[in-house]
Formats: sequence, structure tokens, C-alpha cells
Amino acid sequence: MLVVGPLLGLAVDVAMQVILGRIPLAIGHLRRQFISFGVGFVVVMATLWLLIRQSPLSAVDCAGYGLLHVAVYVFGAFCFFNVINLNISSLRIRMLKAYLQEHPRPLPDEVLMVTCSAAGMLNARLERLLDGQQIRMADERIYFQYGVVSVVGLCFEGLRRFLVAH
Amino acid sequence: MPALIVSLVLFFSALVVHVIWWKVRVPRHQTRALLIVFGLIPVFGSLVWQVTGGRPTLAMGDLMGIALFYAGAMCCYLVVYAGVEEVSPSLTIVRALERAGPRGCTRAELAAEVTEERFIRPRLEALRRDGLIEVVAGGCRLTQPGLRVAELATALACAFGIHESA
Repeated sequence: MLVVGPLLGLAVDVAMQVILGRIPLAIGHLRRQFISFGVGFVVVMATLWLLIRQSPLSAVDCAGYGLLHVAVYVFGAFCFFNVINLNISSLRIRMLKAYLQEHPRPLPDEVLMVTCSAAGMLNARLERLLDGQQIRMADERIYFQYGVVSVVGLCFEGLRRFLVAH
Repeated sequence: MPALIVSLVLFFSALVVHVIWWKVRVPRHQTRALLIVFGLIPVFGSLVWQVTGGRPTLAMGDLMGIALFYAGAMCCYLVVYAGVEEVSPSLTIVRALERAGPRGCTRAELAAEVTEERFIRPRLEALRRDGLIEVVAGGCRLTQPGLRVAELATALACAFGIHESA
């Protein structure tokens, strides 16, 4: 019965994203996703509190079930967040969409390289990093500013060294 | 509490098997290998559960919670692992800027890091290798699975008001 909590939370998260995606607000994708996640999280907590409050479980079991189901919501929301982000920035998805536009006709590699060029990718990524204040620009030069991307990068590099590079 | 403990034991067992496998030899198809590990651990776990006479005692709701936790954690790990397998252009930019320190970089210097050879061609190859596109006369076109993925991505972008960037 407690699984209702995270499932309801995820439904609210998804619905909020659909609604926010249709309202012409001056907020970015990332903020939209955090707002939706937050509203879903409140729904999860409220539902779990209502359900656990009525059950005859011990305090330890209540904590265990609470953590388990909050984790289910967080995992689901993280995967959903990534599905949305893949659609925004994944080059492979962009390539597939370029092929879809031509389907069933073939798309030559040279034409694809114009749609999905390295220069276009660099410009878009720089713009996003500048927007997020992860980097700054002065006198035609670009400088690093401490940000979450750097921390994420270090984590990935550590994992890569631990798992793959040997 | 037993449901949370069982979920954690299952997930960390899968991680341990994954690390041991990768330390012995990194598999060629890493995502497929991860799916095999994460798929087999619950099967093995349920066998152990049968052998121990169904202890710890778990209700149907617990099993659903465990299944959702495990599936969610597995998907999250697969998402994270994708970042280990392939370097993101944003991370490459940030790392290059970090290395440059107070000197910073020009766009041209960063363009030398974000190249077609490093980011575009390998992804195009991956689409071919994964059977999402096929080589035909005059270029490449979507296969049936590729068409489904491209249509799903387009539908998601439409539903959530996503505007892609490279």
C-alpha cells in the first residue's frame, strides 16, 4: 500500500512538468524540473505520513518503510530528470531526430555533420555553462568558475579510474 | 525495516559482482553486461530466500517496494554509468578550463578539445553498432528500433515542451 506514495509523487512530478512546459514562463528547464520534483516530494511525504500514521508498525519499521519509499521516489525522479535532459542535450537523440525528419530517405553523413556539428555543440555547451555561471567570459577568453559540473566531472573521473582504467 | 535491508543487500550485491567482473576484465558491451548482473542478482536472491524458508518474512507490499527500489536504483546506476563510459562535452570543456587555470582558454583552444572525431563520430558509430541506424546507399537511415526511439523522443519533447540544444 505504501508504494502508492512514490507512485503518486512521480505522477505529480510528471504532470507538473507537462503543465509547466505549456505555460510560457521565463524559467529554464532545470528550474522547472526542480520545482516539479519538489512538489512531487511533498506529495510523497504527505501520502507516506498519512499511510504510516494509521499503521500499527514500530518506529523502526516506520522509518525503514519511509526511507525505502522515499528512495523509490528519488530514484524514479532522477531517471525521469535524465530522460528529460537527454532530450535536451543528447547528441544521439538529436541525430536520431535528424534521421527521423528524412525518414525513410537516407541522410548522408556530410549533411548530418552540418546539423550536429562540433562547433554547434561547443557553442551550445558554452552558452549553457555561461548561463549557469559555471564559466565566465572576459576579453574573448573563457575562464573556469567553481560549479557543480566540475564536482560531477571529478566523480565520473574517479569512477572511470576505479572501474575501467586498468 | 527488513524490506529496506533486503533492497540494500540486493543492490550492493549487484554492485560488488559488477566491480569484481570489471576488475577481472571490462566487458565489450558494458551496458548489456550491467543489465545481466542486475538481472541475475534478484533471481539469485529469490533462490536464497527460498532456501532460507522465506526468511526474512516479507509481505506482498514489501516485495513491490523492494522491486521498485531495486529497479529504480539499477536505472540510476545505469544513467551514472553512461557518464563513466562516455565523456560529456560539457565536462571536457570544464576540465580544459580547469587545467588552463587563471590563463583561461579561447574558443579556438576549446574547439580543439570538442572535435567531431572525439564526440560526433563515436556517437554515430554507436548508433550503427546498437542497430538504431543502418547504412544504405546515399547515407544512413533509421531502423525499426531507431524509428521507435526517435518517435518516442519527439513525443516526449512535445509533451514536456522541450527545446533541445546541442
